[in-house]
Amino acid sequence: MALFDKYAALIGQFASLEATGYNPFNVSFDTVLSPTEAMIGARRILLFGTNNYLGLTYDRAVIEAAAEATQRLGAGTTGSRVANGSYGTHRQLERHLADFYGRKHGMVFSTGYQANLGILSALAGKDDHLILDADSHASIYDGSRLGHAQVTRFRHNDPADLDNRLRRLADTPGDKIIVVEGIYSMLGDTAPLREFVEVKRKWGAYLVIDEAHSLGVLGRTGRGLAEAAGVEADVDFVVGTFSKSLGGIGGFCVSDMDGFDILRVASRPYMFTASLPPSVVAAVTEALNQLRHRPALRQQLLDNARRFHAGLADLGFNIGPEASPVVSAIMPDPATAFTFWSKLLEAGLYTNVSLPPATPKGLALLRSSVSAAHSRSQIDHAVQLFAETGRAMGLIGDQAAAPPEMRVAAQ
Amino acid sequence: MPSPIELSEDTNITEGLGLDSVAVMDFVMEIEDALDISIPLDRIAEVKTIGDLIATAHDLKGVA
Repeated sequence: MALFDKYAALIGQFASLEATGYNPFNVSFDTVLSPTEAMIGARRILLFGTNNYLGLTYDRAVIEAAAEATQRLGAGTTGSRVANGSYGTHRQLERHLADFYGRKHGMVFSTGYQANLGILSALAGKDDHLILDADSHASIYDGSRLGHAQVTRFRHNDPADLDNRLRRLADTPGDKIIVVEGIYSMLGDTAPLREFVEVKRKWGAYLVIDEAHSLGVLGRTGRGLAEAAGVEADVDFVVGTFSKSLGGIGGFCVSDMDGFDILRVASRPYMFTASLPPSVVAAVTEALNQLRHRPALRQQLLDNARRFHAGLADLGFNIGPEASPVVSAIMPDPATAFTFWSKLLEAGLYTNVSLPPATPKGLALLRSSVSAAHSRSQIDHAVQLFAETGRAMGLIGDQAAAPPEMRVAAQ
Repeated sequence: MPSPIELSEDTNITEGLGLDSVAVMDFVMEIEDALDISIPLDRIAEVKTIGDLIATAHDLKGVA
């Protein structure tokens, strides 16, 4: 038996996608031109699948900060913060994040994935309990497995089921830690956070919220769903990422919990990995500055999200009810999702295919993400390509949709 | 399902019932509701057959 025989089914699926010439899990852009455009060979591709919510990857000040930091501090740190030392700019970014969230403590990780690994594995010890939303991101599941706590799941966005789970644990010793997300990355739906907070208080549990897709998107100042729901005081730990609205890479956690800094020598994904390079730290620091001082970016993002969401809804696509920057069209099956996706790419539009087990309820999704950097004409062009492709495949009717202006005005 | 399936304690839950990994998790949640228990993820991973599931449920219910 060969080593990779255990992947036989996966190998077969991957090979059949490669054979079509369009494999959604193996796309390579030859050149990236802007937050919204790239080249594949000689073809110009409109990007609707990047999570680049605020379009800050090409912001002049962000790029200049990264370049200056590289010149001054070098290309990399070559070590971990615990074993080889932090740079002043790591600490500075942590203070900026804590200040932005109005929290006492901030901690930066080298990726968003590692932030969840590092926080969940360290917060919950052997006799504690992690209670996860069933539709949690892979990093939340993996972080839970990395630690030694008992892990159970509750039905997605279901406060009554969470209440049941905590009731069953009421007489069991150990701390109970609830983990939810702000915006769920597959369907773009948000958590019923006020109801979760009531359940959390009732049972004396702790609450962790992952704002990866809601930072810079939701809340009066862009802090995410907890701010939008007005429950920040009841959220014990906020986890997030730099790789979506902040346009870089890395992750973080902020908290008011006394003694928080002990995690720096207890969290293995923080201790045993190299720290972020100066360029990334400087770029993210400047992107956070932009996020804080340019609320118009967030308004533009929401306007764009509404326009795109309304456009697809008008065409008759089966999409989620909330106009979030993540807009997923539910496809009848994976084969249709692949065909739709490849036809869009052929026409010059890049989106994402999302399949089980990464998706909820076994859904096959054609997932798009909207950016503040998209122009009206880019959004309308994307909607037009969805219309043409959907009609050609018989997925939507032939009637002309109402102009997007009318739909947006009606909301 | 094309034809009724004869269940026994040896029936494999994924292959025998034709459930994929997503359906198994939904199935487990229904069982959890019916018995008012929570089965931790590491215990679910150990369950292969209906007999395993019965033993795990008994154990979590404190039934000998």
